[in-house]
Amino acid sequence: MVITSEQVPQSASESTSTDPGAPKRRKPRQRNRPRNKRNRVEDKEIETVQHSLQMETSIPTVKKLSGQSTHESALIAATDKTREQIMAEREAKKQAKHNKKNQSKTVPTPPTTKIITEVEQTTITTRLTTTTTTTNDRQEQLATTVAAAVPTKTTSVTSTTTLELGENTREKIKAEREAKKAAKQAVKSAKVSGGNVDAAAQKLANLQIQTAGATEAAESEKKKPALSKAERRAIQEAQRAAKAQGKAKKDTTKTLTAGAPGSQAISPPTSTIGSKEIKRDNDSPSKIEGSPVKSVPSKTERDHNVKLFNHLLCTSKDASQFINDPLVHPSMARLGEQYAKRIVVGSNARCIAFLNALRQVVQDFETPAKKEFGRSLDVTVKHHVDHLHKCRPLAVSVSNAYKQFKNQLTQLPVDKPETELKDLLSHFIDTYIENQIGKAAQAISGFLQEKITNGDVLLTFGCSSLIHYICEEAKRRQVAFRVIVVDSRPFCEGQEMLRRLSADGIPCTYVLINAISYVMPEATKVLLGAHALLANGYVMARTGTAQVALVANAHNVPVLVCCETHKFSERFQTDAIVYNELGDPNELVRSDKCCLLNWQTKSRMTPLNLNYDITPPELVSAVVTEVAILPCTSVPVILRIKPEIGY
Amino acid sequence: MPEIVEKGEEFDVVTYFLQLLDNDKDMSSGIAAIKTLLMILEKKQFGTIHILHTTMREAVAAMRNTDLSIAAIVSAGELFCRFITLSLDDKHMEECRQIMLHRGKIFLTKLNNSRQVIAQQAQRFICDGGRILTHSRSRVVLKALITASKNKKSFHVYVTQGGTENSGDEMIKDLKAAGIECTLILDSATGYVMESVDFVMVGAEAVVESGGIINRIGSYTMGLCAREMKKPFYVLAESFKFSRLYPLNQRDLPNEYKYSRKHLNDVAKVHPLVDYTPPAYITLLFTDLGILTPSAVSDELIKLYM
Amino acid sequence: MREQPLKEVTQLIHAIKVGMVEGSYSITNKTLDIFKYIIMSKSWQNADELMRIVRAQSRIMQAALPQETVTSNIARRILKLTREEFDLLHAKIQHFADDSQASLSLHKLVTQTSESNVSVDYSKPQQGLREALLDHLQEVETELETSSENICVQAEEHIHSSEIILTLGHSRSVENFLKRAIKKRQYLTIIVAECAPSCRGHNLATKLANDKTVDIIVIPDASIFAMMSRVNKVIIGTHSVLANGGLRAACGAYTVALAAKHYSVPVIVLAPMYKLSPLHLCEQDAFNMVGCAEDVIPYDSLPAREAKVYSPMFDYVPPELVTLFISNTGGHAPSYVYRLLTELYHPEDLEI
Repeated sequence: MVITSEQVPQSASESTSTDPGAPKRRKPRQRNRPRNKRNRVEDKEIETVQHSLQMETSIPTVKKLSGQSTHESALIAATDKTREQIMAEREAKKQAKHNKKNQSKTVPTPPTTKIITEVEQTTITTRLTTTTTTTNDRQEQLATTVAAAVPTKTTSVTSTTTLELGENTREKIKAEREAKKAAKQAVKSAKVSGGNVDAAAQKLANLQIQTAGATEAAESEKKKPALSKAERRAIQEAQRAAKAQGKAKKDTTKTLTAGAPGSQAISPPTSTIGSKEIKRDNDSPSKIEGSPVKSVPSKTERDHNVKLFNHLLCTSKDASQFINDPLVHPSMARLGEQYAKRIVVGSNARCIAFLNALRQVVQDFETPAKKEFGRSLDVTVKHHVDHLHKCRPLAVSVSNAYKQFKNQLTQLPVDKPETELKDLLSHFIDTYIENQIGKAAQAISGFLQEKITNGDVLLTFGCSSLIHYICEEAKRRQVAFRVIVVDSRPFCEGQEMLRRLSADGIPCTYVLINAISYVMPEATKVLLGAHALLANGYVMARTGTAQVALVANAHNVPVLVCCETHKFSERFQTDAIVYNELGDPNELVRSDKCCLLNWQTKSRMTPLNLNYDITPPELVSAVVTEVAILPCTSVPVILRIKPEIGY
Repeated sequence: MPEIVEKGEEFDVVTYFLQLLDNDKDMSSGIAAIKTLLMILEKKQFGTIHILHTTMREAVAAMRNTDLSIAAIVSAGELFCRFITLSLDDKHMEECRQIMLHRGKIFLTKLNNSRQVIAQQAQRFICDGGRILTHSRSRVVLKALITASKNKKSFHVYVTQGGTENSGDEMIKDLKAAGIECTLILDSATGYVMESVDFVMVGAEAVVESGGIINRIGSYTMGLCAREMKKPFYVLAESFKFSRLYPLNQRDLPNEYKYSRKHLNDVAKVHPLVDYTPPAYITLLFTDLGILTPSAVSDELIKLYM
Repeated sequence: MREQPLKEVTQLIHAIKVGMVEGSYSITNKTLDIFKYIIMSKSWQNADELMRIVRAQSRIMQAALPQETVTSNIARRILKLTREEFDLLHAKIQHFADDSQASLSLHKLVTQTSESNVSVDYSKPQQGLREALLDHLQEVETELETSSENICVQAEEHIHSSEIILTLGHSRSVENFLKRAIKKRQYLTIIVAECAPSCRGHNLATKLANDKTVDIIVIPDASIFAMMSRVNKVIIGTHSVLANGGLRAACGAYTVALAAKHYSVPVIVLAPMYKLSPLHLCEQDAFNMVGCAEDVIPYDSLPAREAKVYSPMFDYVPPELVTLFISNTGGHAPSYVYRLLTELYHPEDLEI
């Protein structure tokens, strides 16, 4: 089901969490909690639960670690600093070294595994490369949507490592048993406290150190000497972590971003330590490649990648990896899942959904002690945005909205009470939605109503909420017009548009994009929606839009692109390859009888599913925004004056 | 045909030529030229082929001196001269003359029929509800449109004024007489009207070797607009209008084509009568030899002259 | 006067409509068989009668299958053959200097020696006509069979290494052409546009992917413009070639050609000679035909009840978008198609 922008607000509040079993949880509170065994145990239990759930939901990519999987399911990562934990830690380090060896060949992933013990946690860290807090990622991946305690991070780490290791050492079994115990205790506890964060942070630190020290080829025996070194470092890190507990939560957000593309490796939360930099794959936007191919492409998998798009390739899309981040608000997590599963599509819908979830986050936010509301909220929101980015690369409308929100945060008055500030922000969000999306749509529709006359035949491509709104308006004004809806595989969004227009009683024609030269002679105008307008005048929209504009030009039919100003982007690109979003190649397979069904077996054949394409400005007659009807080349003008308009 | 007043060997080419055109408004100047030349062939005596040639050329030159547009005259005359000297065996002069006369008559019959053939070919392209744009007055186009209307097709014609001579008005009159809906537009309104018409159909005074045409001034603009608006540009021309010229641009067109005789001395002050439309702007040529693409014209000419 | 179709003709028409015979090549073969049968039969005595029979049957087939122009093309070839053989055998005095017997030309116009020379009297019975025709038909058959091979051998001349080639749908000629190119050239990448709704591009992709040395990328129709900027050549097949050099090709070919023009990518069309048709775009009442709309949107879906759904089969591609035609006789520019037509068919046969 596709959630439209209208429906999103209502559904935002509904719980559509993908984890059926996960109870609703509030966002974990960031507070300094004394790190004690009890807490950690509680966390462990929670993590166990999460893990078990996660196991069910995660993609079974860890076939190699089959040996471990059964074990892992029941285990809980222990975050205690007890003797047993230390032992477990040692084991985990060993495992991690094993893992590292194995991981180099395979896709590490998934978090789905179970957290076993600290030992496993450490072993997980072997996979860590640079700083980053990917360890946090791991842990988050493991956590369910239910706000898990921080320890879940560590647990996730451990579990992953254990899975990857696939070894069943005696130590591991011991560690698992310990973890089970801890998990049961953790389950009893009610809430996750911020102290978990500390524990987790410390754990992460440990892990990080260990991973740093671990070598790949090292067997379990070899791990011992490294372990000692790592242990020492771990202690150091732990001390540092203790200092930085307060910031742990925020740091984990950074780890999220770092985690992204390619490296499923969990890097310890260096950010907590602050010593290592967070590796960000900012250069290449992390694209989620829908294929079930592992993140580290093996030789055969590499054959299936279109070389032109190597820069866009990402590791396997595994939403549930990070869906169980304890630090992510349930509404945001739900939104992330909706993004990833393409339940919410369309830039306006995504933006509204994002803002609604953001409002929820703001409402539920509690400033940690001795922290400033604005800054800590900023960090939290950043964490969420990164999470969403991992689920599906951010839409331009969403990132613009986020930028505006950040702006607003910096401008908050410092002396007001928290509730008032929250109200201010909520109000800002509401105004943003109302002005940038609602009123803008009305303004654009107003401009276009003059252009739609009796006898007009409008041609549109795909599904755009704005175009639908305009057609509704025109129908309301009782203009006699009809619409030709052009659609394309594999998204087939035009069917949704057709459904909506037919429901409004507008006479429609429906064709696929290859028949466009057949219907174009009848059309009098072409109306297109856009995902974004780039600064050099190019229009970024759903794949196929450029073709529609091209054929329209060849038939002298004017092309109108309707785009609100909040979708204007400062980026510029000239072709659709340098930056795009790759979709799931399997969507191109039509049915079970399609001959593409076994495309993976044929080496060097790849279905390619692009999401967006770029329309050059000479093919567009006019861009209709709420400010004015502009030529396509005037986009930078709007960008220049936009800050002055104010939101 | 008017009676020739023979003043001995004198035979006034130009008078005869103009008389022919006066009597039959519908006749093309090319046909009249050929008829004149045929008459010369009949009436005059020649000793050798060479004298025949010279006489023919003098006659053509004389006809060119009239104030009519000379493109058709030149091409028709050239074709006639070419044809009478082709594959003539070394026979007795009198025999040659008979053969040539005979050929000439056949040639003339064929050419007389050419407009009918062209009109027939154009029928398939004129559909019900069509909107056609044409330039000024062309008898071939008129014939094609009238034939279509007789075939019970209903369409609308936009006619441009065609310059200062108001030949567009005459075209409108003829079309209305045939019961065809038409509108007279200014030459400068071509660009405005172009987006609402289906195709453009014009005649030609000459078809040049490159595949382009020489036609009344304003055709080039129409061709440019039609290409820009992606509308087909059809040219209706009889085959005797094929000429061996190859203009490179407007300036390259010989002055005598562009200006009437009396203005040749001072061309700076006068407007040309015709312009050249390059083959890139022409979609198809309808001739009595068939429907040709502009590249086929050169093929025809090469076959003939080589 | 309504002509009666022969039994074989009815059967062939039925087979084509039902889908048992599909593809221009098979239709041409079967039609040729029918005409061979007609020639071999005893139902005609002179050339005139034969031509009348051929014309009649061809008219019937054309009326039944207006889009399948290959049937009329073959009929025209046979008619031209008949005329040629008749003239040869008849050994008339008028032999023309060049091949302008077939074409109406200025030259011919000018060199007529007598009025009645224009029309040859075909009703004179002629000995040996049948045998001569059958011989010639054999040549035509061979030409038909080898047409695919002749096109393929030209693959080397047009494709260099490390090329990125785009193609649309599934054409037999293109498949063989590309297979030959893959054998001879390295590092090719072939992008196949699937050509919805029948998605025949998938078939082509799977067939080509059996070879391990070439990269195959399957894209939906909507990504054609996006990928075109990286494509070196576009190679497509066509259903038929029109008299002005334009194409009647699979639906979607116009978009491909336009996008290629936008990025100045050459468009190469593989068209064996039997696909050349002397018809113009407007002359055909039925240029396009609409296929089953079920694949576009299922009949039982809610919006489909009120919307009009089209699934056209063909697309017109104007000649200015085509760079080169490759036929079994070699490569030609689209502006030269008129000449090929004059060589293939007699001008009087343009309207059967």
